[in-house]
Amino acid sequence: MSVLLRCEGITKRYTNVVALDNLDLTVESGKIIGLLGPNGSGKTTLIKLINGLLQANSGSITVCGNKPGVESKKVVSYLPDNNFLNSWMTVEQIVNMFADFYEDFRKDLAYEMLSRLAIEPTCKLKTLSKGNKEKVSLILVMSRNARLYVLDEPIAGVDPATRDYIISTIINNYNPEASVIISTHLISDIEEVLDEVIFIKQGRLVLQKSVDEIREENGKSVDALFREVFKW
Amino acid sequence: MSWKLDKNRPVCPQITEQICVKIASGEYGAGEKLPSVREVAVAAGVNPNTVQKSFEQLEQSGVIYSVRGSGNFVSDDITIAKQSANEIITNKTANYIEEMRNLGLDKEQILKYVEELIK
Amino acid sequence: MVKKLIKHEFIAYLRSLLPIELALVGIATLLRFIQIFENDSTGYSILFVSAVIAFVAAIIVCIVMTFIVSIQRYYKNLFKAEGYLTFTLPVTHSQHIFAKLICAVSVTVATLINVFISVCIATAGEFTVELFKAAGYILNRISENIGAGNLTFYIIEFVIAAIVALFTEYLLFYACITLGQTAKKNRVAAAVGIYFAYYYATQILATIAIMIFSSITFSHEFMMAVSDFIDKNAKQLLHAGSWLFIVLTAVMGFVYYLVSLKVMQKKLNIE
Repeated sequence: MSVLLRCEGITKRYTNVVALDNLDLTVESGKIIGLLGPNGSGKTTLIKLINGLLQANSGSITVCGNKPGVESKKVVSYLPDNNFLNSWMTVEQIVNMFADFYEDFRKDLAYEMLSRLAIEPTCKLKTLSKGNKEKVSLILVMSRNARLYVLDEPIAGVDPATRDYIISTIINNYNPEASVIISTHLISDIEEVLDEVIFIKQGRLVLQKSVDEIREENGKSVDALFREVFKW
Repeated sequence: MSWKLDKNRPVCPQITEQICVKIASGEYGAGEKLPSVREVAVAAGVNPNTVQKSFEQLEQSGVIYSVRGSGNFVSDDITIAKQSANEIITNKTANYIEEMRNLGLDKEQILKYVEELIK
Repeated sequence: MVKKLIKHEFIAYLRSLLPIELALVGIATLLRFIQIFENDSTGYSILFVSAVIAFVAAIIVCIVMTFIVSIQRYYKNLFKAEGYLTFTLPVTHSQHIFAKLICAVSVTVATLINVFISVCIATAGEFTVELFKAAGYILNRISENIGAGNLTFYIIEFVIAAIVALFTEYLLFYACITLGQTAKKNRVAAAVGIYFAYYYATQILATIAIMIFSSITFSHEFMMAVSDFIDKNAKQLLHAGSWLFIVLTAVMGFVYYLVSLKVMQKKLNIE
């Protein structure tokens, strides 16, 4: 097991809010990790920092030993929580674009997953249903042979069938060399898939523990514990 | 192959228990090949590492054995599986009976409820 | 990587600009075709005038759209939702700016060439031939006066200056947009505001500089010496002036580029 992600003393301030407050975090390989916290707790900020979409005010982040930059971007596969794909492009064009830029992109795997969903490569993204768009995004992200997958709210606002599809896709692509970070506030849907959960609250790390340990020690689900920790 | 999990208990022992029961009940026969870690993980919707841990525990207690490169197999001798399953089921039933007794029910009443609801 | 960026950039440009560029050529051809049936009837005049109006409109649309699409490619692809993907590609910020810039300038030049070709098509015939002859004659006369070598140099200098100015102008827009995106909201308005604020600031500075300069009184002898020097070295001074303009514009472009780059590196704020 090697350390994939290391955050040391990360602080990120926006004009008048502190989004992350001296956060320390380590993520090892071979794990599926839930990044849990209520809205505004700093989950997305942390994810953006990991992906180099924001810069921290202080502290350091390394992915496989590299600061966010070209080298880290080669090994991080990121699913944002919005429609980040160009809607006029066809599925095929997007696949080609990913294959062009990411050396670790497995085109055959992407097409295999797409054909199982009966999504035509010639379809324009804007003609796809919301559920299918989410699936295409996930397929693109999971078709990479990355070290760290960062999925921001992948199961928010999708129907149960899509949610199950997303979960089984994540499990199916599990690889002991890599880790998957899934941010969500819908814990009960996915807690059994997780090795470990990270609770963050107001930009601080509250807890990082394995799901089974939590259940063992508290005699309750992670979801129930979450509700307790984040009770106002 | 269906997997029902209790959200308030750790996942790993639940998978271990259910595999034991599945072997004892004959769903997986002696010497038969078990589904892969990934298949179980997808089917049960749980973490592959957890399933891996369950398999390791089952192997240690002699319920299954693994062959490098070809997967996990149910042991030819399934007495241990049967014993474990028996223990699990006995424990759970005993727990239930105790809870009912705590509510003040006697044997007839408990059996009556079980009879009525078991359909 | 820059090559791949440019490739995908061009695909995006082709999709939005190719139809109108082709339409322009089409309208130009149509306009030329109509002229075959030239006569004095009102019907023909109406047809001809409307075709000319359509042609002029098409030229304006083409140029304006090229400009809009170029700016949009930068803003939307980097700082709107698409930016989440753009900025997580394993590419440096400077490569992004460079690819966008190369494409914007090439597409602008291509549009100008297409407009020129369309005008040639629309007016193809004796008139165009005369026009080219006239241009050739004028160029010949100039080269007789100042020497063919000099003329070639002026033309090269002019072309280089125009292209460098185009690069710098786009880099200025980029810098304004990049600065504008740091705003919490009204990011486009912020970019436009920065552009005009900068424009007026430079105008005011230039006016002040001229006022200061013109308030200085030089001695008569000095002024005579200067004008004598200019008379004697007119050609060399013109070349030097062109190169000074080119270098200064390039330096300004580089400064704008650095502004965009530094802001991207420190203050990226994707919507």
